[in-house]
Amino acid sequence: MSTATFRPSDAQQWHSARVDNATTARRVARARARSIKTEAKDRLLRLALSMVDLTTLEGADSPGRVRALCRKAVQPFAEMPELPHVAAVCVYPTMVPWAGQALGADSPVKIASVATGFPSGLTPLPIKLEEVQRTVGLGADEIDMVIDRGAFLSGDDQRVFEEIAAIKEACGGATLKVILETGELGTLDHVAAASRLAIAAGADFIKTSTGKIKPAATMEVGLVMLEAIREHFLATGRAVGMKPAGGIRTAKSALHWLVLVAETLGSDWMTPERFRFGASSLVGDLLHQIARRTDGHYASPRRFSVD
Amino acid sequence: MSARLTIDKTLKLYVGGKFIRSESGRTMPIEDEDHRAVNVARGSRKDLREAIRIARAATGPWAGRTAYNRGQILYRLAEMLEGRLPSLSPGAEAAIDRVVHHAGWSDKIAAVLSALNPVSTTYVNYARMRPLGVVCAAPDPADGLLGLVEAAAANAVMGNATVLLIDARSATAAAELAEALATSDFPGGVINVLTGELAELLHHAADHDDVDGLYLAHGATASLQGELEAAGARVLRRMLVVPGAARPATPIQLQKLAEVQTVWVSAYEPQGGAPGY
Repeated sequence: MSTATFRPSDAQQWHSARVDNATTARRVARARARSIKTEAKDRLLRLALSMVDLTTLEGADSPGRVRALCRKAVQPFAEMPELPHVAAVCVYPTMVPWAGQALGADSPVKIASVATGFPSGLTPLPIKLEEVQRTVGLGADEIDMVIDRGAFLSGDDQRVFEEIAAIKEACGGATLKVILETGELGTLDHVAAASRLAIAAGADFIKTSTGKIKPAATMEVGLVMLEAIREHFLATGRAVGMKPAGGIRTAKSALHWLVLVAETLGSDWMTPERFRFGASSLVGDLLHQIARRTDGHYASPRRFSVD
Repeated sequence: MSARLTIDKTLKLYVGGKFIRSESGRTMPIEDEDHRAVNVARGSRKDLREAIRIARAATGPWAGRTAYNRGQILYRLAEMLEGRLPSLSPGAEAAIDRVVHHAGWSDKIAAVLSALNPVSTTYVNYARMRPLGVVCAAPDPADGLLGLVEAAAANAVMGNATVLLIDARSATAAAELAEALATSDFPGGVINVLTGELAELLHHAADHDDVDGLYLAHGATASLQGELEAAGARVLRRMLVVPGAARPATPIQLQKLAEVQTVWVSAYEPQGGAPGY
């Protein structure tokens, strides 16, 4: 695949977006007000579960913790084996082999890994490329990279673009998710520009946050990113995925996100191929709500594993 | 001079240290002692779930305080109630005295209920009290403020977080307690007050598996006890039925608001080793 090339005229177009904050807030409020009940809720809770990138990105991560995470990824809740598995586990590069060992060779659960000097992204490019290649070599199916926010905010679009393009190439067959870290971008205009930039540079998914910065995945930011995906799809026919990450802890907020996706991009995006939740504790609440619908009474949160 | 319009107060729920309206927006009209109409927030299932979640979060820090400190905080509640005495319902003195009664028990009850059990092995076997966790309590409306403070204080002494489920008819007393709690040193979430339709609130509490205990005044809940017991069996929920608040909970009743934990400690002493306990 040929590498995307940076054109200053494109950059001008990326930055031409003027996001109307009030309208964005209103559309988000409308999605939040939507009431989803009974069978629709059952289906969406299960769909949300199948879209989770079950994540552990802690300094204290250990092979044992990753193994436990992988078991939960394959079978989120032993009492209900009919529930879907999650989309992927998301771990640091050195944990990828342990995840591979725990999941087995033909597991339907993908292995995603953060690379490129996560979470700051302030590592020289050759080291980022090496990190990506090695991580893919260790067995990662998906790479979650971070953009250099400092470069983006100081107007160096070209550097950000070329890094993404180079990393996309280094990924080979692996899926590339580009983390914008919207909590550091400041305005929705910046989010729109960064989304367009990342998509143009070859991102397969765009992702809101590392989870290390607050605010993380707000729905306002999400709507702007979904609109950028829509714009690109209408212009080129290429479907880019979306991954909100960080701060999504309740089933209710997951349903609100799905409403937003369905209304902005349509049902073609209601699949783990194109939409993911970067989360860990969300799974517990999804299971809680599914169990509530199945058993008919409200379970103790202590019935579900914490992460 | 024109007559002044009085400003009527809507009686709100007290959850997590905050006065909130019901998320449902529902209210119930009641008549206070002066036969004036008062609107009372009518707690919903979601309000109860939220209150239980907040109470659960409050259990650890509350149980982690020293018994002495919990007693001090209870005594402070009595001070706050005393300061408001002129505005409280008739008979509130008994309620204040009851808070002081339980405040005094706080750092003594462990000594009464704990035990060094006689076992015929080389172990030392202790029994000690651990809090149940989250308790939903339904005092008898006939007991007024006294019933509320008896239920709340007995649970607080044993280290539990309480969600008081109060029939709207007792909402005035509930507000008196909540307003004193809000100005006392009680951490938010340790004692929560939900008003509404008592049978409805109890039904939702019984359906919620994260409730560790139910404290029921016989007069308020006799007709519901069958249902509550059946639902409680699912999660082995502790149920304590008290006759009313005329007398304070006895140590044996207080024990039912706690779990007995037995601890085995090896009594084996290697030769020359330092003696243990």
